[in-house]
Amino acid sequence: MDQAIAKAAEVLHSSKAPLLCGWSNATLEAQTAGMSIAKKLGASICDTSPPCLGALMERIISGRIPTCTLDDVRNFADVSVFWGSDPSNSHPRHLSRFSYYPRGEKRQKSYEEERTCIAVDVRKSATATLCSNYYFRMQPGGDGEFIESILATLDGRIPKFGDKKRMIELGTILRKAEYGVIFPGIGMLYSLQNRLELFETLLAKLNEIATFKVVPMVERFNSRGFYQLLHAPGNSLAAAAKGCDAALVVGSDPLAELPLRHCSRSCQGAVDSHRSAQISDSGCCQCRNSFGHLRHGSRRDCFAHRRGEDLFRADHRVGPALRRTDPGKNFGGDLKWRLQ
Amino acid sequence: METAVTIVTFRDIFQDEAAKKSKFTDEFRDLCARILLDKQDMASLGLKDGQKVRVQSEVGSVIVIAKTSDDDPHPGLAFMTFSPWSNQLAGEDACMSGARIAAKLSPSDESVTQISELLQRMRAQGIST
Repeated sequence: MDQAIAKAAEVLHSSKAPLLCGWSNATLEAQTAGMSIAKKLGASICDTSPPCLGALMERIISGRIPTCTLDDVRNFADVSVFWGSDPSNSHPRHLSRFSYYPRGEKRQKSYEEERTCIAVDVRKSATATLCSNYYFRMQPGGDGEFIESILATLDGRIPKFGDKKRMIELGTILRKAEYGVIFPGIGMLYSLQNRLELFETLLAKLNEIATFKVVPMVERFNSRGFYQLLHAPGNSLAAAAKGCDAALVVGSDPLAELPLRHCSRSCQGAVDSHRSAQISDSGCCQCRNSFGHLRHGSRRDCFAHRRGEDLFRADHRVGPALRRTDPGKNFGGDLKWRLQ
Repeated sequence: METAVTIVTFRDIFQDEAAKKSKFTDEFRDLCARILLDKQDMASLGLKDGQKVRVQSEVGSVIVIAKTSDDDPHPGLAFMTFSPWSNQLAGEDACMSGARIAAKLSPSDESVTQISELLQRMRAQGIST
């Protein structure tokens, strides 16, 4: 083991652009240590989850999508919706310990009597078989239409997509739920891709009627921990901005998104396809013309927006952010965004 | 004889268990190197259960065993377990289970792709890039 560690250290030390990846099956302590190494090396760090899971996690951690613990699921949930997920295969103890079979504080009669299990999937998975009458099949990529149909039934309209009778039946179950939980899997997230706001709208609508939470079905034991650590106060953008002496702001509005005291000292240049009122009027961005505004280009023409997705990924790699939290380091000519 | 399908990957608990033991066993290969097809697609390809099929996507190809799916009719839709085999077919944005991959199927007489071959491809790709 010592030999392996020594060799790994040697490889990392001699590397110019190291990447530390994995971490999803590691403990929080190991993930924290990994982030420290990334900080020391100036390395990129990422887990193996697809970017779309990051988008959902970010919404959950920021509170835009309500979530709960698995204990809450066991104690209170009466409707569980497995959407693009198959816990029977991916999370074998999920149904027996939390979401379907166990008795809970307010669910003493347990499954079939007090708990309803719904599966939404493109294939009849083991979980879908278990849900029997409440299995809703959809075509690949049809999640957006499925959400629109649910929204229509909740509004009392006739759904445009899917079996109308069954969709109305589903709408009725969701409407009558006391405490519903949706367990979205990677299948659903892939399907929705950049339309996650539709899922947000569905959650908002459901929460007007009943209590509905979301618990993502992450495929690795501790993906959630990794995301949580990435969004911990020490790793936040505000913390990074506090410690840095130069920042390249791309397609964003620091005055609207960063604490003013950090903004005033850190914003040195902005690249955006339009001149935001905040940037042009506040005066806090001292060198706002250093890179110039792309006044006539459409958002698609702007380099910043073309790389938008990559930027999002970069947000989840704490290399640059953490490096800039290091107050002792001068990043004057060494601001490297690891966009790949 | 060629058929275009959309492949959706999924997780399988038995495959996960086999992976925990070793990814270089026949058991793991048998659980991964297979594609579940609709009856109609099996018939159009002239395949019977257990016969080999070449799966070709934009980024790669593998030889796997074709099996008839127990699911409701789903012509044009195929399922593969999420594994190194399915990952050979997936583009940059389509890793992990639940991904959708456009592919073409054709019957094949070649032997099923081995994991050692997948590793060799990976190394060769690493050297060429």
